[in-house]
Amino acid sequence: MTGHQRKQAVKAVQLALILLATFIMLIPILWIFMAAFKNHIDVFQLKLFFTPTLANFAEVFRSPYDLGDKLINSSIVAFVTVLFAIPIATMAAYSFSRFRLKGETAMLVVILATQFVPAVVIILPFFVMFRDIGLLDTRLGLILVNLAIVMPFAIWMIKGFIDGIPLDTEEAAMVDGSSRLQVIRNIVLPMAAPGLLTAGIFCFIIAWNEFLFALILTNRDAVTLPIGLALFRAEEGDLWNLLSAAGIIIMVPMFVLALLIRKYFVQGMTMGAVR
Amino acid sequence: MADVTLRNLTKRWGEFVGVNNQSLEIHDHEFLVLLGPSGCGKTTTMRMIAGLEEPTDGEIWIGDRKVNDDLPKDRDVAMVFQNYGLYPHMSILENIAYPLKVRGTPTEEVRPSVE
Repeated sequence: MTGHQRKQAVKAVQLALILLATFIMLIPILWIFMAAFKNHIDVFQLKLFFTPTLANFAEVFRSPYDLGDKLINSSIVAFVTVLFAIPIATMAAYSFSRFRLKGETAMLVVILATQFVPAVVIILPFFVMFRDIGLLDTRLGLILVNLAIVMPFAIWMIKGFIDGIPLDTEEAAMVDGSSRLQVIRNIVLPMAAPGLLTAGIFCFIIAWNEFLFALILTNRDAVTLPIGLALFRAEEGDLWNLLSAAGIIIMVPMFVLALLIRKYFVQGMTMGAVR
Repeated sequence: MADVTLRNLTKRWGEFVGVNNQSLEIHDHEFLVLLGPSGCGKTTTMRMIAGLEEPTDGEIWIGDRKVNDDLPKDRDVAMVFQNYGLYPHMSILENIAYPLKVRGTPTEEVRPSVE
């Protein structure tokens, strides 16, 4: 085998492996995409060719499923969560990154440790507290819970990005005549922008997909999309075609975000490498 | 320009002594070079004059003003950093214009004076 042929063979194997991995990951999604456009009878047959229908999408937005309400709830909860999480996390991350605080390591570890507590452990206290102060089945309650979930993650992630900004740059700006706040606004925020955006999108995805807390803490008014999926487990069995249609409605925004994030994600990962 | 005077300037981090009881008078228009092995406190002294490091002890005077408690931005000093200290998200023009901008120069005056 000549060197050229060997190179070709390696390339072919690489391509095959990539295709295999992609195939394995995409199979369930492909199944959902097909089921969403099938009618109730076709779902149970592994047919690749069928008469596609949009009826499922119309059906999920009608009573008793009313997926529109859940879509609105999910959007508001995820969006408001990010809106509060990112500014607060940025301030916390900046302080952790730039000031030497008393008990700094301990605080950082505790913040991280909250991520390791299984949600089922703290869900009952949350339920009791929320019942007592009337936050059960409200969007506000869900937003608070989601904030608690995404904040540690956001703080650690943004801290990483701010750590990557050379201190010299900030000090140069201070000697150039900026106050600390001006440094943050004019230098730190623009330089950390890809990081903030990445963290924001990750937080959005976490809040959007959050299932367990929404399941326990809502029952009618504030139900989110993932919980809405459970509606399709009816007496007549699982309504897979409707489930799939709803699943697509949940997934599509994530696909769009993933496309948006791709560029910034790579930028974010390589940021520490320059200079 | 102005005289810069250091009086018994000391910087300690815990047990570690960075700058020890340094006194120095630099006159107006004087050109001064600090020379010494690494770790002897040249940069620390400069950073204290610029206001980026807080002295443990001693006084820093610029002109007839004691600047120990002034922020870097209020000391009217300039400094070239070892790692350039450029603002990578700004253009060259914006980089040079930044000090003017934050010191409140009217927008229409910034561009001509940079160019």
